[in-house]
Amino acid sequence: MLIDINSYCGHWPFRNVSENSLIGLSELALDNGITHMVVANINGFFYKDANTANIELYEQMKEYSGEMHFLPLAIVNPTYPEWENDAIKMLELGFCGFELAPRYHGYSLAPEMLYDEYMPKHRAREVLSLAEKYDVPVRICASVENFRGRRRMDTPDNLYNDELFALLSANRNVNVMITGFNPAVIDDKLCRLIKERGKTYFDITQVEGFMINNVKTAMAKVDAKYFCFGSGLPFQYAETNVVKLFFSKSFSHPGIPSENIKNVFKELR
Amino acid sequence: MKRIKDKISLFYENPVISWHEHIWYEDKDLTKISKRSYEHFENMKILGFDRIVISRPVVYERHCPPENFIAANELVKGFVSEFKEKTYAAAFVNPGFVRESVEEIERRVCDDGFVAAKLMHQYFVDDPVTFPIVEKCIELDIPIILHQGHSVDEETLTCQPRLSDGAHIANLARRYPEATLVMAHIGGGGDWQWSIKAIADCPNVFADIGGSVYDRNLMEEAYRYIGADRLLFGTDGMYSSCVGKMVGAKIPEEDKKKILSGAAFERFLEGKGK
Repeated sequence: MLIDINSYCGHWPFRNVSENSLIGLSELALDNGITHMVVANINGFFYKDANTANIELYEQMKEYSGEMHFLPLAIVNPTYPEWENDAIKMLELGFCGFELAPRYHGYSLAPEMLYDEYMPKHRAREVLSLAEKYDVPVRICASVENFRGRRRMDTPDNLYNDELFALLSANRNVNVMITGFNPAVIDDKLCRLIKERGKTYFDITQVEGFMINNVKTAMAKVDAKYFCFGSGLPFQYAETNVVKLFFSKSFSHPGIPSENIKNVFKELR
Repeated sequence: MKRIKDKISLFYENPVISWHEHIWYEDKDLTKISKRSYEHFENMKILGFDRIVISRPVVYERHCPPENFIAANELVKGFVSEFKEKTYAAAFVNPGFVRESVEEIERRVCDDGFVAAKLMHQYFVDDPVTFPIVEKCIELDIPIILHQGHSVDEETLTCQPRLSDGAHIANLARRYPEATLVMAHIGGGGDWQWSIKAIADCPNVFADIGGSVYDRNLMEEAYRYIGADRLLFGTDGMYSSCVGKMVGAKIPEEDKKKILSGAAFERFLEGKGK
């Protein structure tokens, strides 16, 4: 079993990305031995009403009859009307959890850190509370592409340690997957919190498999049990992340391909 | 894991030369090769790299003086002398010190067997200050590896205000069509599509696929615009990224082998003081 916690379908507006349907994704993933994909529709990052992207994904899921086991996430924009009812509805339709895209939806995970009277207060925490109630995980997208090559219309910043700390310390019960985050930049404060809290998982797409980026150091600090496989599909070559699993002593922890994350999903318990 | 094992056999069953590798010094002591350098070298052997071209640019100094780039090249010379069969050296210089740079390149090539020159971000590569260096490299018949990236983020632009991109390299290539230029690390960060398109029409510009960015289609677009004959394998220390994009690219297997073998550049490695 190889569970991929970092994949998307949908259109990426900043460059042409092919194989971005469930069928295309599954072909790329199966070719790399991936058996399960945690997937969301990235159109939801850009639509005014993110939930319309969830409905698109639901329609694709109904049509899909291939081998891949998809675990769909509903993208939730907690600054938008009716987000709560929409999120519950998607769970009722078989979605496995929620995804937050704070940079793309224009809010902070820790609004108290910013002085902005228009910033919705603590909405991300409300999403985590809802996830707790329904016993589903939440994925938080820290970045999609490398920051150095982004178009000006893309978001300039990745998520900050302090934001993650504020959110994760406010709710310690929900399983949270953080994708596109470089674990090498996790600071000591966040490290300590993750060790106390548990239930926090990072994918491996932003670390080099061998010696660069101090992945060994990051894993030594946080513990390998909080790392999971991510392919980065369809934006990145999945092979790069499979190569990391195959070669690197840093990734020799047996839980990384599937065991660390499996129990997060009711569907896989 | 079987599938990836099959894919990676590309590296074990074919000649592989990486044209973009580095060694490091210990704590800014330019006379001491770091332990990390040897660990990297071991990793490259595990991954099936047969030969590598190494340089040690002084990246932390925007005004790197001659004594420092000479020391960095001496460090590279020392490492290459330890692993003669597998390693080649590229000489890093700061074009701002024109006379010293030209002398350093000539000395390293003629006396020490270095096979290439390397320029970083001390100056834009099409700045006139680089012209004497390019002319010396033409005379010596060696390629010049050019650090680049079309980055738009504040952090990179602050650290590297004279960072070149493909357009700067194309300007230089058009001025010196007889020069052999290598656009370093297509995946080194920044808008790789920009740099690929900028050099597409410059037959004397080659490119290595190195860098941490492994966006899908990077390889396919480089192949489409530049062609396998002008692409080189290199990692810039980002091994899984670059092995992954090589094996994951949807380009003909024969052309992958051509890129890995560095066939177009083999002549630069022959008889150079080895």
